[in-house]
Amino acid sequence: MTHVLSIRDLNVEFTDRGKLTNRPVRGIDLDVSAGEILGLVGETGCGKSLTGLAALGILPRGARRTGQVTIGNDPLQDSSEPGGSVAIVFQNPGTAFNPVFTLGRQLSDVLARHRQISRAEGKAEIIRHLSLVGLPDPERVYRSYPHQLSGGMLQRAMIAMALLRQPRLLILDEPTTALDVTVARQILVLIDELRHKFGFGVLLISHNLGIIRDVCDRVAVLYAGRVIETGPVEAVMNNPRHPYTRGLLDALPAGRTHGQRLNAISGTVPGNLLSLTGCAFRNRCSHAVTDCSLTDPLLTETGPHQAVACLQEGEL
Amino acid sequence: MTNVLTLEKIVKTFPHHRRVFTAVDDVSLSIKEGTVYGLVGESGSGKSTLARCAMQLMRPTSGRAIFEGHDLGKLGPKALRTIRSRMGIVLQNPVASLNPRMTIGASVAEPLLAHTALKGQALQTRINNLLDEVGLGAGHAHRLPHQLSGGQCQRVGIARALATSPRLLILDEPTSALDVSVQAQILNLLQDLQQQKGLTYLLISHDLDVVRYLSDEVAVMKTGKIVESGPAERIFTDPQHDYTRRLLEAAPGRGRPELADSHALPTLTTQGSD
Amino acid sequence: MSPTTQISAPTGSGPAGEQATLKPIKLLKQTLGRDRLAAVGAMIIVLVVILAVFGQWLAPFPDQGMGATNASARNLAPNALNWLGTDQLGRDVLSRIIMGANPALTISAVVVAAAALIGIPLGAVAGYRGGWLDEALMRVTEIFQAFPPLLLAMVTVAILGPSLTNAGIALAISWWPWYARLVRAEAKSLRERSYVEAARAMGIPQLLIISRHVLRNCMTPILVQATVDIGTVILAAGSLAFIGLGTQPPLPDWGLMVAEGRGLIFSSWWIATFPGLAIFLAVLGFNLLGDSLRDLLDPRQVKR
Repeated sequence: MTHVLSIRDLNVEFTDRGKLTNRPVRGIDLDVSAGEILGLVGETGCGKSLTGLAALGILPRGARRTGQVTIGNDPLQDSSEPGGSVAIVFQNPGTAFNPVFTLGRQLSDVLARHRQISRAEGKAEIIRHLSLVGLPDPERVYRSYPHQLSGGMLQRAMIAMALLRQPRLLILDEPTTALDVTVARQILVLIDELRHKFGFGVLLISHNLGIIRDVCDRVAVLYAGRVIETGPVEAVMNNPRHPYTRGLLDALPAGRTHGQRLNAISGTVPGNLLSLTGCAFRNRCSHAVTDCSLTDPLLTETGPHQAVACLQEGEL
Repeated sequence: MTNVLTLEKIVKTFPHHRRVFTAVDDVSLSIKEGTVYGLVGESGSGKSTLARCAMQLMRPTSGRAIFEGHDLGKLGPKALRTIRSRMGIVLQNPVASLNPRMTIGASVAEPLLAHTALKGQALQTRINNLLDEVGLGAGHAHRLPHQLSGGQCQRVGIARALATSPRLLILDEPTSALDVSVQAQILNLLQDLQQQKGLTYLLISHDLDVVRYLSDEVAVMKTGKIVESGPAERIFTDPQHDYTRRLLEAAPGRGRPELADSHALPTLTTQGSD
Repeated sequence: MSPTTQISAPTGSGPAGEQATLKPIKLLKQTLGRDRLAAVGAMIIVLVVILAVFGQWLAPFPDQGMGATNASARNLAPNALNWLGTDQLGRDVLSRIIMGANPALTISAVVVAAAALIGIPLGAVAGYRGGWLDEALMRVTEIFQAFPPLLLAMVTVAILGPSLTNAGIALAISWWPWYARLVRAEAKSLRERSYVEAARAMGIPQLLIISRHVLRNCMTPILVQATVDIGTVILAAGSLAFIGLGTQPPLPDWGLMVAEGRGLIFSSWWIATFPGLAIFLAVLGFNLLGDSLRDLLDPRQVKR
C-alpha cells in the first residue's frame, strides 16, 4: 500500500528570539494512502491546521518543524513554496483569490508555474478542469472576477486550481465552514468523486465531526497537539475509545431536544503545552488515575488500523 | 399565554443598483411567552434581517413589529430606547461583540447604567451576580475581551444581555463561532437560564441540530419567506416542504453520500445567492 | 441556583490573579526596549521638551537668545565660548536655538490640539450618522484640502498680519480637515462593528455610543497622527517664518534663523545650518515616536 503522505514524530515549535515559547504540535504520526480520505478532527488549538501546513512545507514565521514528512517517496524540503505533489484548499474561498484578476488569469498563473504548456492548450486545460469540478458554463467562469461568483462556485474553482497541480495529496482545511449546508454537501460529494477518479489521497482538516463522518474513510482525533485516537470513521464515531472522543461526540446536540442536557466536557484545553507532564486531557477526564499525570500515553494499536492513546484503554 | 413578540407582514427591501432587493418578503410570526422560537435558514434567507427588523435596529419597509403590546414602529426614539431594556441580544462573534477597550465589568455595566439607577456598590454587586449566573467568576470583571476565550466572551455577552432582566432574548447564531465542547456548555447555559427565568428566546441559526435542541417552535426561511413553520419536533421528523427536506438531508453527520448522488452533476445556484 | 459548568481558572498560563492591565510605564519601557528607533525618537522629544521648559536657564547667553545684539562678536565660527558660533548680529547661535524650542513646541502643540478639537467631533458625528451631515462635512473639508497646504496658511497670515500667533491660527485652520476626515473614515467603519450594534440594541443613547465605542477605538490613529503632526507643524511654522510670515525678528525662531543665515551660507555656514538641523531632528523625533505609538496603544499589547 503506497502512502502519499507519511508523517513521523512531527513537532512544530514556536520561538521568540531563540527562546522556545510553545509547541503546538507534539509528536504526530499519521499516514494517508492513495485514494483515501483521512479526516483530521479537533477543536481550536489542537494543532490540526499547523499539521496541514507542515505537510505542505510552509509554516508561519517563528515556527520550526522537526520530524519526518514524506510525500510519496520524497522527504519534504522546507521552502517558501509548497512542493508540486501537494495542493491545499483553504477555508474561505472569497479571500483565497485575488479580487483584481479574473479566475482564468489566476488559474493560468498556477498552471504556468507547474507545466510547460502553450497558452491555448493551457486555457483548454483550465476549462476542462473547471467543468470537472462541476461548474456550469466554465467559459464564463474563466472570464469572471471572484466577486461575480458565489462561495460555492469559488470553492469549486479553488479545487480546480488545486487539481491543476496534479497533486498526489490534497489537503483541505475547513473547506466547507464558510458555506451553506446544501452547498457544503455538494462540495463534499465532489471531493469524494474526484478522489475516486484521480486516485489522490486527501487530508481533510475540520472541527466539524458531521462532515468527517460524511466523507472520510479514516479519522485521526487531535488533542493538544497529539493524535489521541485514530481508526476507520464508522468505528471511531460509533464506538469511541478515548474519553475525549467520547466527550466530543456526547457534546453534540444532534438528535437531542431540550430536556436532555448536553454532556459538555468540563474545563478547557491546557494553555501551556511546554510544561505539560503526563496526559494532556487528564484534568478534564472523568476516568483519570494518578498514573495519568506521570505518564504520557502513547498511541497503541487496539485493532486493525485502530489506535488510542490512553492509559485506561481496555478498562473503559 | 401571551405573545411577547408578534411580527405582522414584515417586508424589508434594499435599493440595489437600479433595482430593489427584497430581503424579507411578507413574514408574519408570533412568539409565545416562555418559549423558544427558532428561525432557521441558509445565508441570504433573510433571517438575520428579520431579527433586526423585529428589534427595530432596521426599520421595516412595511409591516409591524409588536412587542409586549407596543407597536415598535410608532415609538419615539426615547420610548424605543426604554423598551430596549426589555430586550437583549447575543451576537455571533463573541469577542467582536465586546468593545476591545472596555473591561468585562464595564461592558456588563453599560446597559445597567443606561437603564437603571444603580451605582457604586449596588452596581458592582449586580455585575458580580450576573457574571456568576453565567458561570464566570466575578474575578474576570477587570479583564479585557482578548484575554478571554471565545466561550468566556459569549458568557459575557449573555450576562450583558440579561443585565436589565429582559423579557425577550434574541440570539443570532450564538454558538456558530464556538468549538463543539464549548458550544455544549453555552447551550446548556442558555437552556438553564431559559427554564429558570421563564425567558422567551428568538433563536436564529443555520445549524439545524442547535435549533432542534433548543426550540419549541421553528420557522424555516428561504429567500425572504417562511416556507414552513410549526412545532420543532414535527418540522424535524415530518417536514412538509421540499426545501425543509433538502436542508435536513444536507445537514452534516447523516452519513456517506449515496453513490447515486455522486454521479449526478450537482445543481448549482446562480451567483450571488450563496 | 448553581451556575452551570463553572469556569475555574482563566485560560493562558501565568500566576493566578495576574494583572489585567500592564502599567503604562512598564509597557512604555518594554516597547522602547525592543524598538530602538522609538527610543531614539523619545529621547529627542524629551530633549526638545527640556529645552522648551528650561531654555532660559540652559542657554549660555539668554538675552542674545531673545535678540540682544553683540556687535563685537559678529560671524564668529564655532569656538570655545560660542559652541555653535555667532550670527551676523553677534548673537550666540546655540542660545538662539535653545530658546527657539519653546515657541516651536508651543505653537505646534496648540495648533494640533486646536485642529483635533475642531476636527474630531465633527468627523465622528458625520461619520457615524452619515446622510446629509456627512455629505456636508465632506464638501467643506474638500474645499479646504483643495488648497496647497501652506498657501491657505499664507493667505490667512497675510490677512491677519505676520506674527507667530497668527501663523498658529492660520495653521490650525488648514489642519482641522485632516482630523475630521480621519475620524470620519474610522467612525464609518466602526459603525458596523458588532459591539456598536450591541450598544444600539441595548438602547444606549447615540452620543454615548459615539464617545464610548467609536471615539475610544479610533484614538490610536488620532494619537499617532497628532504626534507626527507636531513635528510637521514645527516644520510648517518654520517655513512660514522663513518667508517672513511667522515670527518676526528679533525673536528666536528656527525657520527665521535659517532665513537670516541664508545669504551667508557659504561664508558663515553655521548660522543657517544648525537651526535647520534643529528642525530636522525635532521632526524626526516626533515621526519615530509616532510610528511606534501605534503598537504601544494596541489594547492587545496587554498580555493574556
